[in-house]
Amino acid sequence: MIEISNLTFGYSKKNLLFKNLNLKLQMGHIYGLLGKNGAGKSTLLKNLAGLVFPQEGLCSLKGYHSADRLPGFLQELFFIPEEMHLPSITASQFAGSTGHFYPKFNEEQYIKMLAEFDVPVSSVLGKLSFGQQKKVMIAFGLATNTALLIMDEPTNGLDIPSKVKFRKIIAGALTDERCIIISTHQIRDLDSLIDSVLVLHEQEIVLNRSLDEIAERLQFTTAAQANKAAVLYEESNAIGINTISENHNETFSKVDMEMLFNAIISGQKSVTDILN
Amino acid sequence: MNNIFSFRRFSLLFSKHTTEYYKTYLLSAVVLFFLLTLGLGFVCYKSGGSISEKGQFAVFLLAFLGAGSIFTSIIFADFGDKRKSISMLTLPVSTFEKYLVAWLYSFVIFQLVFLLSFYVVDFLVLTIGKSWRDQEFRLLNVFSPRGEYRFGFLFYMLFHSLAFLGAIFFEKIHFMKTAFVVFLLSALIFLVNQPIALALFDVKLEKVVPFVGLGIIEGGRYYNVDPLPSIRPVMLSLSFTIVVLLWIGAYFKLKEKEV
Repeated sequence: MIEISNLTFGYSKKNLLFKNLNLKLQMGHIYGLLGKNGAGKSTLLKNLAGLVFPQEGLCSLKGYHSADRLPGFLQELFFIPEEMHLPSITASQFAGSTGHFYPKFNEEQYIKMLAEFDVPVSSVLGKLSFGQQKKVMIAFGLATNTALLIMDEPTNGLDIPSKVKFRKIIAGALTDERCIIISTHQIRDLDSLIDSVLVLHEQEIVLNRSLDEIAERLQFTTAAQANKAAVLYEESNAIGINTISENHNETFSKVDMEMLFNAIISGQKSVTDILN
Repeated sequence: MNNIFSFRRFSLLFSKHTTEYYKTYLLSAVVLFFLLTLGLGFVCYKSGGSISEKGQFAVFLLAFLGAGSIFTSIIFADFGDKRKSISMLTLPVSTFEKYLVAWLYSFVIFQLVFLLSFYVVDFLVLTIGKSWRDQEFRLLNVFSPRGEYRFGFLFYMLFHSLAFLGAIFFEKIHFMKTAFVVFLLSALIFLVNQPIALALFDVKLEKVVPFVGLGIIEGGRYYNVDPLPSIRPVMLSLSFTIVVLLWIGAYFKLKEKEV
């Protein structure tokens, strides 16, 4: 289990990004971390990875504190940042020079995923395009088989066919011993990929629920289909009005994450109250 | 699992670092080789085909300290680059292992490569000089049993420890920033040392060099005041202590590095 306890962090003491933030993440899930620009998504992920140190509180994984950055902790974590640097060696050499550091690294899996992404193993990483480099890192990160895999904006730089492959590969790589966190502002990219939603808003995690739990409590329908008395939030678009309403009659609908996110950040307390 | 040091992890990291940087290091060694050829060749040409031991040592010391400081000051450059820093900090090795690889490359391996390059170039230049003027030459022995050149290595340790701390302390333009801080500190020591020496010696001071000695004029005669030979081990120990403290400081700065 990954746990964040009473986390207080800010780049300056006066301007805190999180205050006493608590969060528990379970293995066997793919979490989608959503938040407005500047909400602190990347900073929260950095705290989890031990790349910044909290002013108070701690983040722990398998009994290790992230801020200690001990090898035992780092062997169980792989972080794919939004912008990355890869050395000027081939994808195959990279596996040889870096894979050994991860006890559960599977080179066969890495090569297979590179093939799925259409990245030749003999390509020199430093000369690849940003999107191709990202694919190499995603393939490598998944092949490390670490308990925690963190991806910050992984779909940035990927073309549409690659995004489809990305979803397929990630879904196939999830096991009961692994937790994947994906932070993104392109919510549509997470469709059919994540099973739990985390929303970071105004220094707090305002939502940490599985999509099933959300669908149990909320209904996402058009205005025409909605029970007007139970409507909590509505949003108009080019084809009409969509609504979120309380799910009284156990009718399951597909969770519209973008609308849910908009409802939460627009201050619809009723939505978060029902979900929490 | 040993979370402080594991020889396996250390050797894997050393091998990874070498795989990723050997081209840069080889290129740097070639540049060093040419600069030494240029420096020694110029001195040899100007002095008529031969270089005295002191002349060879002057070139040796200048290049040793200069190249060593520049090389050391960029050894942690990856930690100053946000993109590279993330992969370095999240690599499953301990801070001590990361530190040790950087220390080995900048302190041990640099010195070996420098000594080898210097002696190859020095020998070649002096041999060419000999064929030109047909006069015998004496190759510099920095490990001479008399130990007159040993201070060069002590100076390298001092310069290395300063550059090493500066390399991890500053995020960019490490060499220039470290050199500037060292210059400011030296100026401060000179400024503080002068009034202390004036207060201790009630005479006209000609020159005051901190930690070395001073020159005074008394009764129209010039005197050099040097520390007693018995104080030398203390000075030496103090220098080593400063070097070790700076190295320890670099370790903790690396440990608390954030992105």
